[in-house]
Amino acid sequence: MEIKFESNESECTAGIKKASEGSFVMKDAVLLEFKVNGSVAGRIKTPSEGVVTFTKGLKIGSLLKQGQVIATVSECTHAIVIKDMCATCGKDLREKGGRAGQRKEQSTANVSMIHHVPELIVSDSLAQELGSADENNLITNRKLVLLVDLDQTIIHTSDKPMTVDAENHKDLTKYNLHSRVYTTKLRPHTTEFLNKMSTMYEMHIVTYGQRQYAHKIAKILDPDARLFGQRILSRDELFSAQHKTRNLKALFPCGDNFVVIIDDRADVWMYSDALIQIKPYRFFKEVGDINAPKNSKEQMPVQIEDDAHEDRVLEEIERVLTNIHDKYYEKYDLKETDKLDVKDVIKEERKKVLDGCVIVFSGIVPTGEKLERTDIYRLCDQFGAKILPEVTDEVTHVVGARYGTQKIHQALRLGKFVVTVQWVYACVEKWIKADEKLFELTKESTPPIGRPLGSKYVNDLANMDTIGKAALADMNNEVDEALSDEDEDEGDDDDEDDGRGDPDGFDNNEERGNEVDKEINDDFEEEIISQDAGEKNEEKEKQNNDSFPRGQKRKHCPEMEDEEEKSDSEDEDDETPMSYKALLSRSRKEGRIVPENYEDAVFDVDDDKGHIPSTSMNDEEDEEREDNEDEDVPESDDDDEFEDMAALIERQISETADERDNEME
Amino acid sequence: MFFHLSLDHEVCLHPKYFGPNLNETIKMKLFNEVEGTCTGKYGFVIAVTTIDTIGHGLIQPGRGFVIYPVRYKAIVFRPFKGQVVDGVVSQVNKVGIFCDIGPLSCFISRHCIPPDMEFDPNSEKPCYKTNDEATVIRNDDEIRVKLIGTRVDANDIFAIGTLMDDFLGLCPAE
Repeated sequence: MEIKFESNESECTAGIKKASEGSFVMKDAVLLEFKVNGSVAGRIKTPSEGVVTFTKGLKIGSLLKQGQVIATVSECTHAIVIKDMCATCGKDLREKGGRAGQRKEQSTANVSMIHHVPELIVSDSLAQELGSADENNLITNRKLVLLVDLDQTIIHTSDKPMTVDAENHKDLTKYNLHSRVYTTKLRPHTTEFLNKMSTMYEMHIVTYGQRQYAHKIAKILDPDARLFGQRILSRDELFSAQHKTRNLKALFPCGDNFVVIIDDRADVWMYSDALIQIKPYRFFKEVGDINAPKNSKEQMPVQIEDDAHEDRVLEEIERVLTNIHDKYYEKYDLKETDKLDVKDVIKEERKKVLDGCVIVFSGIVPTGEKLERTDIYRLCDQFGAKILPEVTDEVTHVVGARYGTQKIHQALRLGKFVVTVQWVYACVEKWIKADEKLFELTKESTPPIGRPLGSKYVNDLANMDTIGKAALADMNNEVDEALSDEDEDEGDDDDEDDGRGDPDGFDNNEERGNEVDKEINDDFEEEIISQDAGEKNEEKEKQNNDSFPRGQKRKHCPEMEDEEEKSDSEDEDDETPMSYKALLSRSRKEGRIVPENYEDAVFDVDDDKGHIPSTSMNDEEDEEREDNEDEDVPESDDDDEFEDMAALIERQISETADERDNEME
Repeated sequence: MFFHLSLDHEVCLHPKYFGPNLNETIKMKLFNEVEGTCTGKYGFVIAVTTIDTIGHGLIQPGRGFVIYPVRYKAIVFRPFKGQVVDGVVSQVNKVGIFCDIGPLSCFISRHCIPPDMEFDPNSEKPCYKTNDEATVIRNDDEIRVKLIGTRVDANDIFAIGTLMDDFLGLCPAE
């Protein structure tokens, strides 16, 4: 509905707007004051409720004519929606009794613009409007946007319990989150880096960490919220579980022309040109992904990567980013009409690094693989080098894996630089052509380990983190246990057999009263596994094993039972009754020992089944296996088999446990 | 709006508390479990004023826990559409203002902020301000808001508000 200016007085000028553009007004609300000769002469009201859109060009002081359309009042388009409520008109858009997101009315809002409030969404047109306002603001402040990743880029976090020496490690922060203790180390130079960058970039955190974690880290990095403010995007707000790229469109509706990214991973940004990939920072040993399952719970002193203190990466990146910023605005000042993209500037700067280098690879690209498809080719190409397949006069560098290839001899004869792959990595990490002398390939050079922008090769393996040492040991134990039991099941004449048919098993125990405690433990565990020793008392006795001499305990004195029952009820207070598995692991913790016939048992099984899976293994492993086979077979056993066995046994145990539970009920 | 209501709650007690201080324990547990919670129906329970009756406990079969039905009176805060309340600004961004009205959080969109106030991202704390900087709304400021909608969930309430009415907006500092 159009609102027209009805007054017939002459010389009317517009006064103060009483409603803001796009706002919702009730019936008879005042939209505009108008003035005659500088004094307020009247007000224009709306005859119906709705959203106001003023006619373009209407400003304070502009001349009003009779019949001129001042504004239109239309139905609300619900341009800002939070929790399914229109934040403009206050209407509830959710269906009655419906769930979140079930709307009864269409809304134009679909862009989530505020980092940490994903439920607040705005319409495309409003997002564009806000986005362009942001861009203008950036330009007036001569800033760019910098998206910063947290983990392994500017910090390293460990969730392993450890003792922190506060004096040696001042920038270590220990804190509780989700009832776990985390320790975070800032990368050297981080504070200076962030402070410097905040003058040139509007910084955002974009991380796959959880929201609380991200905010906690932001608090550590930036206690006054000056650097990042509220611009923190965490896992909870990211649209995709694999890529961070998708959120860019929502955060920057007018395009990512201003966005520069630093991250230690390129894949999450889909190898975007705006990304400056930096070498992952690792401070704590053997901590890769902190979300991986952990087994060890002991307090250990901080274990630090050897080269953690020599990390100069942020200083290099600071230089690179400063350069990009300066170049961008240099260009911007030259040709203001074009929409300048920072990605082009980055590309250009990157090309300058190895500009003029003509590179030949020797022994690096595997035969049969296309040169153009390899990572190293991509890197060299990105950084401006020209790559040739053969050594010619034009060539400046030969990058070799080991000394003595034909190409390297050829290059040496022609007086070219012969360098290791590390030279390329160094260039890529620092964005500077590294000194070739430091990376010269000689007879003594070791074959390359590591990969571009990756940390050490070993670390990558540690990153997998599927089976930790402790877990492996656990598994081994479990298998040993199982094997020894199985052995007993098969051969009943074993002297370890203590009459499992007897539910108490006391007679036997008393006979062996002079044996060490540990063995008793072992004994009991076996009883439990063999599922006849079902009485709770026994479990308790086993727990008390260490504190009582054997003979005494066997007497079953009534006071003791009382005590035990009490402790048991306390256990049940906050936990469910202990399962067999839990019991098993506890008894293992208490230090069970390997049965005497350990080696035989394992050998038996290995002879029976151990060789079968070897056919399915690949050659390399097979070779290794064969090497080991003669000496110490049990140690070299296949992990898969161990796992299978462990799973099988666990299943059996849990089945029997279930049965037992049923019986008891 | 605030109400003084009579409400019911069941307190579940571990047997170890059965002793001379049983009543005290029940009261403590009631305060802990009830104060500060929110139900969609009654709103936020601000404070328990009196405990009227503590009923007979019922031992739970197989567990030993005892459930006591308690009737108590409490002050509850239930926001309504159209209500005018005072809040504290908790966050300012380009889309609007978030504020806390005690336990209730409230969003005021930029469309509901007076037209003479504009978002300024460059000041030390982001804020909405008039051209002459006579009024500036930034974090931790007190503002008077009219609620224009409430989202009532099973155990949370969220509100949206407006500053576009007479006498709304920044509260003059005392």
